[in-house]
Amino acid sequence: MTAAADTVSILFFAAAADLVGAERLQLSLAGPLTLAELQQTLFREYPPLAAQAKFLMWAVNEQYAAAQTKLQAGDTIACIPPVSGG
Amino acid sequence: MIQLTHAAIDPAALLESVSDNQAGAVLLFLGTVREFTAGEQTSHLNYTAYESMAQSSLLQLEQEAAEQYDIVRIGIVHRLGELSLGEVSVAIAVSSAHRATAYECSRWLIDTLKQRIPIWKQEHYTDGRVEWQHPGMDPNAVAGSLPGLNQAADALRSNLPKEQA
Repeated sequence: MTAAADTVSILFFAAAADLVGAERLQLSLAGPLTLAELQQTLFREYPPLAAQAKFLMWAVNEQYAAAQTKLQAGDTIACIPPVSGG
Repeated sequence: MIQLTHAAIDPAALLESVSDNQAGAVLLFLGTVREFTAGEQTSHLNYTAYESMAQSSLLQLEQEAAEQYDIVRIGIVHRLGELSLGEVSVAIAVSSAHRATAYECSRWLIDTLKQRIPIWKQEHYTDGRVEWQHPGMDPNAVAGSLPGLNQAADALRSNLPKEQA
């Protein structure tokens, strides 16, 4: 899938993918958006994900990111539930 | 050697990759698939990862370890996909001039990997239950929500503007 110029991709993993019912979403940016604002949008659309919000980590372009991070078109955001490798 | 792999891990190859004449100690840690956890019997495991980020964050881990410890070389291989009981899920090899550094660094690497690297384990129990392992999260909150909420999510998703699943 090729991302349109004004969109961001959002990846979901493990139980987060189950809660959302998708491993990937594509959203268009209507204007400036922070990671926190994107999270609020997702939590409104997916109440089961919102219920686990305090456990979730977020990454922007493969780096863990703080909520105030400003998103840019073309960014890949990842919703990362508690990891369990090893 | 820093690697994610769907094939069986070869510990001998990993050891070879950290061997060096400057080293007086070579330490190998293997994580393996355990049959019983808190009285529950595992049938097999399935590991998944955010592969590109896991690879880059493992490289970052290697770099941080090299800054903190006086090691010669580090090798880390993590397995993905389906694993049977007893199989190796992760292998960490460290070589250093003296053994104390290798022990400390190896311990730091596995502990930090478990906290930070985006890899997830799904337990498949012998009674048929399947459970993502998310330390801290209530497994029932997640497992109990399916599949009904998936349908609800599908319905919601169709209302999201300009998105594709």
